[in-house]
Amino acid sequence: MTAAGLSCWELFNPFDAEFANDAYGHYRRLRETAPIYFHRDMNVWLVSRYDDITSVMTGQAFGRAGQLESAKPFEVGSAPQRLTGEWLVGVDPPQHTRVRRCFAKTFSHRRVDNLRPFIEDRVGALLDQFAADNGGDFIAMVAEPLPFQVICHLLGIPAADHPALLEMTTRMLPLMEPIMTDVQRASVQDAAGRAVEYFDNLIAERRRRPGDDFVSHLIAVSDDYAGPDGGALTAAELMNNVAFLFGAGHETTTSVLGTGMYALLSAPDELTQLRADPGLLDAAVREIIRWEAPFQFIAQQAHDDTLLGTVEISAGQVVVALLGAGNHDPARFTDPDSFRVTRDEGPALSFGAGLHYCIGAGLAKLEAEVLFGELLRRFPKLLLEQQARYRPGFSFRALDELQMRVVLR
Amino acid sequence: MRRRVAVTGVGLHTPAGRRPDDLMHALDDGRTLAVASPELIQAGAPVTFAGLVPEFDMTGYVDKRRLRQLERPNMLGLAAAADALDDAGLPMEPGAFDPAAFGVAVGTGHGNHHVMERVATQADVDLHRLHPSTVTRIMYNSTAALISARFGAAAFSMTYVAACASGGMAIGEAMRRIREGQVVAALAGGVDSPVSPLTVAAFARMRVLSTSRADPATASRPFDTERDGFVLSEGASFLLLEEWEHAKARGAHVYGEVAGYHTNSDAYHAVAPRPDGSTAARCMLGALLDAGIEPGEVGHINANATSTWSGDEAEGRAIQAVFGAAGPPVTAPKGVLGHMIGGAAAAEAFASLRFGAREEVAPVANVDQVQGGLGINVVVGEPQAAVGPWAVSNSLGFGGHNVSLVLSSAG
Ligand code: HEM
Repeated sequence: MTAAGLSCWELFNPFDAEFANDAYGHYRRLRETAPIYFHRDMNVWLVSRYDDITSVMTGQAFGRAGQLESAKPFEVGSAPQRLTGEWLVGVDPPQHTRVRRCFAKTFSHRRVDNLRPFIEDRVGALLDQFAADNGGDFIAMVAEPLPFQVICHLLGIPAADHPALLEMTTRMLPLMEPIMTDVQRASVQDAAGRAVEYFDNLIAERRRRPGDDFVSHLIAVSDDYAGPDGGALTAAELMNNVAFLFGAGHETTTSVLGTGMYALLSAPDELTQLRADPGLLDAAVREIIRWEAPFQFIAQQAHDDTLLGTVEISAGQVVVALLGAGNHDPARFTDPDSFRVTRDEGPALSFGAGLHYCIGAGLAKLEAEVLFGELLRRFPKLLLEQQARYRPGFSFRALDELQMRVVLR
Repeated sequence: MRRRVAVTGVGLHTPAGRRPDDLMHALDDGRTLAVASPELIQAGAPVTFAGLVPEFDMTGYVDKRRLRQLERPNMLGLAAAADALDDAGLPMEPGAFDPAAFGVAVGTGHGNHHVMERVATQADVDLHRLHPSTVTRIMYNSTAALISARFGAAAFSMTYVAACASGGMAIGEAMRRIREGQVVAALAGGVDSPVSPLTVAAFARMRVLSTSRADPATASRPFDTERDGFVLSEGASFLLLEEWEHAKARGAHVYGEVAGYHTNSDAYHAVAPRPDGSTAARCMLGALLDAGIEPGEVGHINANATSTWSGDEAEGRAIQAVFGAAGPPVTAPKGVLGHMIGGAAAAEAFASLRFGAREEVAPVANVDQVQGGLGINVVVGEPQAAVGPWAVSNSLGFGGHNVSLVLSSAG
């Protein structure tokens, strides 16, 4: 299939080594040429307009079964399968409803709000260090440790385990990409094995000695629901999703903090405006989240034959909703490729939409608000030192490094 | 076969807090959740205590900027509706249901009219300088409109204004639309935040508010011989109603069923209930008929009983007429919660479903001596066993609006 005489790879090639550096240019070309496009070689539909993405994410004809393609090449019973098989993001109702309800119950607003003092304390400590060095790599020094420490605190993971866990999650990142190399496969396999062991132990420990942490509460909620209606979680659901929450809770937020800092540094007028009116912080954080979506796509599968606009999608086909493309759709956001802290045009797609809408959206926004609020309060000047480096890849958008300077006065 | 309507989620922002368990504990505890209100004291209101919703963080529910455009009832209503979705295992976002098959029905007795009170009681109202959002802030339908927009409920967005019957009417009417196949799901319930000096003074002038200032925790005492009026409260509560098969297919937790609904009118007086309770009795019978069960099958009754003399007496007579002297246990949550007006019905329906599920009904708060001659089985002091899953829940409003729901906690 061709559109405008281009082959499918000419029209859209997310595996191009340069993709990450001009993702929105790639999306724009695709959206303008063929907004609902069947990519023959990838064997998926690509959807790049905001409204179509919303339809695909919320439509009754779509669901998940057969997701996490990259985990598939690992055989049943392998560690990556045992770690990811029951992830919330990969399952459909009725299982999804039951599991999500347990997580939502445990992850109440109150619990999120209770984290504020901890977040403030961590932000303070990290920025003390950042100030002492007059800046440095914002990713390594601030954007990575903050969400990591917050999620460890939430889950009650002792500090002694932090380094090993950090290494484990970094090595499992390729799981999110549609393609991985043999070296990556071996590494993922090994890291997943250790993660299974770690989280199994963590849960067993919390069963023995419950505390005031998320995992203990989750176990209690699950047990509480174990009535005749069988609302409880299975051991695999519990372990898989604690592990998922751990990963989902920090990699994504690290990405947003990093790309957000970069956006502010790259748009000095916007930064000035935000300084002048701290009331804009809330809107600025929303714009940051629109500007760069950490998860660049979500794949949905059609359960039934269905129409998307005027395009027929057949049962079984996979539709890839390009969240980053939707966030920069000019039909939805005015002048979408400019970063504006005053923008007030409704929600972006970065947290997803529909049944799988992100459970941690409130926490992620809270972390961003506390961090950027404090950065502006403390440092009269924030300066970009060199162009930031995007992490190569298609699925996950993040910066590898962001060198900057802070000036106290 | 007729479609059944499941209750798959509940959202509560009441004086008992926001967790369903908090509500049940408070009902079991049996103390009126009334507190002294600094605003009422400062204004020199004739009654200075009321049921207030504990402070909570609204920013988890709406953007800070939107928050500034919301009045108190809007906030309570939005938060309770969101919690009902959350409780049902659904995102607090649009897309939980197909918008064309998802509706919202809100009951409210007072809407946002305190906004008018605020405007009207300013020393010098400048009629040329009202805030442009004045109308949207006053509209009785503002909470329904906000919920509909926030969660993508496009099939209908309705507001019922029927004093204390408002919330029950919203639940019943939404249930009918699911039963008729118009929608698969609806958020139904209500909200009121009427605790303002003017509203309190106005109710006090009607001599319907309890004035037992000595200990507000004993102020509301439905059916008791010493009762002297109701305690005004604020609060919001919503149920997520869902077509039974749809709920089962998505693996939802089902609290129970709204199986019957009837509404009628006393056609008697602007405020006072028909003293013999005959229309309220016919209302309960209508709801039982709608559910297809006999009075003898009802395991407990959740009375509207607000602790006013004439209201409780008329309702007592109505219950007597339908169920006789050996009728099922009768409880009355307003002894604990006070009267949240439109916000009451969904919380009470939920409590009733829980009573049915645990087969035990909480006693009515603060009853030392049930008014003589009523001839009904008021639960006093200790909890009573509820036999079977069926319950009747009444909402009877000033103006003679009667609503009865029949609920079943059977899965
Ligand atoms: C800025 C940071 C974040 C972004 C951009 C983000 C993004 C997303 C997206 C796009 C989804 C939907 C995926 C899908 O449709 O399959 C999702 C789901 C989820 N997120 Fe987040 N997330 C962030 C932070 C967090 C945090 C901090 C937590 C928890 C601590 C979290 C927990 C979850 C969970 C549990 C789900 C699965 C929900 C379900 O499948 O029902 N996320 N997130």
